[in-house]
Amino acid sequence: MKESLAKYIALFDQYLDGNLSLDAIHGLEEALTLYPNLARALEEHIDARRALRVEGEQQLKASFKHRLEERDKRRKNNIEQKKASRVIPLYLKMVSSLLILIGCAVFFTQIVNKDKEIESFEDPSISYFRGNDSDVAEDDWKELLHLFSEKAYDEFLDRLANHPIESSIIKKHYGQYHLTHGVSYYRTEQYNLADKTLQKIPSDNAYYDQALWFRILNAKASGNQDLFKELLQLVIKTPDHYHHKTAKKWLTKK
Amino acid sequence: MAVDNNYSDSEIIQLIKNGGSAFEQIAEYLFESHLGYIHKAKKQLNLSLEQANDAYADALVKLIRQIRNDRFLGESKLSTYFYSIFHNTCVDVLRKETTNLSYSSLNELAYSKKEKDLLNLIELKDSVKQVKAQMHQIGEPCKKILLDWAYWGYSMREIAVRSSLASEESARSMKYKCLKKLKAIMTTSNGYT
Repeated sequence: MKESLAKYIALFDQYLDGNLSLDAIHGLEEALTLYPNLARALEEHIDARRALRVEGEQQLKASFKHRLEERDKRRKNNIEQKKASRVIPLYLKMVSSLLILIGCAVFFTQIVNKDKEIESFEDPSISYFRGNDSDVAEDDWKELLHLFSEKAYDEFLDRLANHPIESSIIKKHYGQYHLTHGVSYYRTEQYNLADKTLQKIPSDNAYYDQALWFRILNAKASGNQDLFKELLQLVIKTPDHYHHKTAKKWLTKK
Repeated sequence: MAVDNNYSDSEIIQLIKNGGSAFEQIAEYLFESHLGYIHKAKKQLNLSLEQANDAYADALVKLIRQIRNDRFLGESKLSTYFYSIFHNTCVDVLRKETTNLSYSSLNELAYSKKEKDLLNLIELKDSVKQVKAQMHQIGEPCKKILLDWAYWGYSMREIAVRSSLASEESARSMKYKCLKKLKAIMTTSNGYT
């Protein structure tokens, strides 16, 4: 009797996971009605599995929350860095003005670490976008560009999600649209979406060079070293790329 | 960790059901893929960042549970389905703030459909706290083995490697002993005779 019950107990997991044949289900369910001990054992088994599920879910939730907290901390630090970077040039301006008065201003112009600036704070500002002012007449698109230029990336993405841009406008500003979209993803640390979006800009598009550079920054930030190096190589192969020198420098550094 | 792959809805469902490292990888992917929703919900429902983060983590866990229980029927895109879960969770968070009701405890302890169908259980006997205490009693090594098996869905061979056990057989034997131990603890604390 004990032996035959053990035979049924061994089937519990398959039964609960729906992996038992119809005949076996029928046999087990008949045994459950015949043997109260077996029914009790099934109840205990279900309770144990439920407790394990609850515990597993708690652990998974805790790990997600931890990662979100870390992400927020990083973003907060970035904002503080950005603020600090605004203060430093202001400070430098004041100091250099003073020094101009005494004839030493030139000495201070070399202090700013260009690489760091490029890596952390560079954004394609509206003035970067190549000559289509007259085309950007659509109010929505203009507003979005304004948000982007204000570095309100979350709001930019939010607006795009809630009020998608008309396809005709996307078509018209294809490169610009995907560049701003991709950079906003990058700035909000959604690296996977950023790369996917920036990749949409073809090599013959006017914004390709910038998209390529932001893919590099994105790969660097996401820790994808292979992609980072691969994309740097692409820039190196393009001598007229606006970050050709920096790419060379970074690749030799890494 | 960077997430470089793109998965279709059906791939996501399959990988969650497969369990093991594929499941861990897809949980990571889901986490990364919907981060944009946090800001959206935060603005729409006027949540604090902490509340929105809490709801996001909770909603991801619920999404995985729904997929495992075959409750996602594919009538909408998975991302749309997730957003509805997330939105409802945010509303629950707000409601919890006003009524001080422990919504998540009730939610997490609910039996899955299969569990309900099987036993027709109506009452919830435990609290999350009680489950946690029971888990604590079985000890870390047992807990790891049991969670790897029951929640993460690793195979016995993988469990043997993850817990530095000699073989698949010893993993199976350990799992059996640990499960027995857990059942005994639960029987005692739930007051079964």
